[in-house]
Amino acid sequence: MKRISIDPITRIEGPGRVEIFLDDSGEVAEAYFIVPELRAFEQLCIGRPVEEMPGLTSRICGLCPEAHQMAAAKALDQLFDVQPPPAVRTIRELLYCAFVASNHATHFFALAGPDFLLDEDVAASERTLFGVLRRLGPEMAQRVLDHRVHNHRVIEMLGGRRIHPVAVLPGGWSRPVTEKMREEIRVVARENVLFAADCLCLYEKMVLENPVHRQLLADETFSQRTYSMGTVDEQERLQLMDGLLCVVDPEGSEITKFPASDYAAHISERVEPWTFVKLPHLKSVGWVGLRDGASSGVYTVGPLARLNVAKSIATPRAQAAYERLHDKLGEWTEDGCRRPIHNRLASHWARLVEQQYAAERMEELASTPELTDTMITVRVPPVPVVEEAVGCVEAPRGTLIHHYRTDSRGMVTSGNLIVATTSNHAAIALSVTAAARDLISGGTVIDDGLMNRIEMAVRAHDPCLSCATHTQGGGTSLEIVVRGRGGTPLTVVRR
Amino acid sequence: MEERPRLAVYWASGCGGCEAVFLDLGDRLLEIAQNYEISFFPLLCDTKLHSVEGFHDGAVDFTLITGAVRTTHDVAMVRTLRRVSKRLIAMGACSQLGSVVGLGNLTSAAEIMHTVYDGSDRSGKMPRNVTLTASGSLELGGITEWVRPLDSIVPVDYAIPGCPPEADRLWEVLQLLRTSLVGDVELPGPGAVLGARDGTVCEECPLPQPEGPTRSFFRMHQVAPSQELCLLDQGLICSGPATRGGCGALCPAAGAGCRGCYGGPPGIYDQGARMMAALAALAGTGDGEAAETKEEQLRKHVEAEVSTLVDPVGTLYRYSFPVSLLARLGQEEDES
Repeated sequence: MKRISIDPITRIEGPGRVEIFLDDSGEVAEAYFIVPELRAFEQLCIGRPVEEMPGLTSRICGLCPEAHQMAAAKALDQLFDVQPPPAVRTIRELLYCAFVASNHATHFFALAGPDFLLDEDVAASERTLFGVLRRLGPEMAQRVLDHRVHNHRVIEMLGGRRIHPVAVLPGGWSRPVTEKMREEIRVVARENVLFAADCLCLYEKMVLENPVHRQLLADETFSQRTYSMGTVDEQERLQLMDGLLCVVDPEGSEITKFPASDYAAHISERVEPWTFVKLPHLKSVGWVGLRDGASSGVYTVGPLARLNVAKSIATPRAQAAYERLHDKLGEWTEDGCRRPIHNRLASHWARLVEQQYAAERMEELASTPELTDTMITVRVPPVPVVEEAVGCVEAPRGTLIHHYRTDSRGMVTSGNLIVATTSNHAAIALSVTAAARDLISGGTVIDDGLMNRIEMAVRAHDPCLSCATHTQGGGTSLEIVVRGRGGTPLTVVRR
Repeated sequence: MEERPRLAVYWASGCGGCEAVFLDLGDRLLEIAQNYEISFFPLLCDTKLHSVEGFHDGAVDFTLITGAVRTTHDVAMVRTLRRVSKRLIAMGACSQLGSVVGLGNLTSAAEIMHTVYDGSDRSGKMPRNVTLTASGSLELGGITEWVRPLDSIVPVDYAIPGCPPEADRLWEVLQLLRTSLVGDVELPGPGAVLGARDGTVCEECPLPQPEGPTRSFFRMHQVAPSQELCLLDQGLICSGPATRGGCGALCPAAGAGCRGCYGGPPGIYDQGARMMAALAALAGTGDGEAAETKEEQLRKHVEAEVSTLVDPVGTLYRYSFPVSLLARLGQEEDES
């Protein structure tokens, strides 16, 4: 039995590794995706005042602290039964749009980009953000670097700090936005809109027009036909902060729509005897193991899932980009509906479509009169008026749920956090297995390029293991399905 | 091309925020890539562990470790990185002080495992250090009994405080480290704190200094913060007086109390105790007679003041519990 380790998986957030066992004929026997980390935020929350949760749970992830803060903020609004005034709603969403635009661009250029913006045979040492920036040339490189700095400057202006902002209050915000800040924010928002459009052009030119990458986007290796989950408004449009959670099946038919507070009725967290990691799945469909297809409750979240769920996007440039994505890669049903896209590598394109939406929405919000309204706090009762609440947002990586219970003094008695990467855990495991199985067979030369292809299957999900390991400490065992040429399962091995 | 100093950046059990600071450097990041050879940096580069294990002793000039040491995997990684590094630097509050992960030390490792896994249908299973599969063994490791600061696991040369450190401070440190190699400047002795100021957060704070007396605290949602008064004078807990400066007092300037992520100021070994002393002093101010002559009354003021703090440990030791005298005593008893 030969073992192949990819340790650590690089250009993702947090520590993880892949272990693949080959049998004597060189075929994949088992593949594992292992996360050797545990920080136990559920424990750290207990006994803390609930109003401290935005600041505390922010530390789950330094790449997406804003998502944890907003999920916690929404839970606080409900616990204290307070309605944020218009200025607060605007500030929160504006900050969130700057964050999503920046976060998506960071993943695109720094983490996943080296896989598709550079030549296929580039040396591993060159396969970095720095290699990408050299390839893009000085002008675009400067824009990429400035994009992050400028958006995080906006986050600092609004939230007090660039990483781990501090301004969230139940129903409120700790400091107002001035007209001077608005002017600076508008300039950043305008550049964000243009930058996002240029990123989409760049994607077409460097990825879609590249035969290797065009082929990968059509490759079954990277396609797992799962359910998709995301947040939409009453017109079925993409939403990042407020709305209902919607689930579509692998063919694109809506199967359920529900407020996040009902998550426990729809999502079940599976514990398998062979793994200690919870595997969220759809209760109504059920668990049939690590499998895709309509009979398996495995679902995905994140940019591609959101664009599979949403029927349209509220801003014009993003809507055009959304249509282009579906026209190029999607299929239509007989009654004229868009079918979901299942190739995981398409999530990079979906990420850019969302970046465009976040930029356009940011520009709209930067012009609203209420942004600079100084009514930013409300009267908040001394202790929570209900004992539990669920806050939910669409983090860049997918649906994020914070569920808190408190005692009568408002001290946390339990916290349950379902983060995007946990929801995607089963799907990531499926992707790793599929890539290992398809790319490795008897006699395959196992080189850096091949191992990187397997990592690409992981990176497509943009996993944040920092987020996922707020509790998890287990290794994920996988199921290997050996298929015949037509795709018929010949053997199923479960471990 | 002249040989560049080698730099490594590795996360133990952290959030990735310290790594994100590199991205906030903007085009200064390109200078770092020019000035340093990056030996290992999992967020940005594809170097794998087997390469690092093959480095000779001291091959890397500077290694920054972020994140808390919470797992046996973390311990093994930091030992490997210590061996291959000339200078090892604790970057960020987790690595320097234990940070919020260190609040886990309020409970035992076993309790943590139960809190995390008992809520689920776990069928009697818990994560195991090693799992045997049909094909071979999978090493996962476990959690350590306590979260400990990096310098109690391996010798540490310097610390860069903050959760996360401010980008400008990180930049200054990286410039200092590089120029030290060409002989322009000399690095301080081991144990020094880099990328921070010697004073407190209060000294950098744009809000007025505290006047007192502060005799009770409100919870943060009960007061609309004003920019005209010190937060302590508004009855909002702020650890500025017991926290090392360098951040620019960003949190109080935004109306949010400091929670102490830069650790205690120079010479202070227990940040929470230092803050308690500051609170006691504030309770007595503005009432000279009480402070001087009526000890009993002062004691009552301080007691009343401190009793309105709802979560003293989680607030005053938010970032530094594992290095506090209290926690260390508890651990020593446990180990003896």
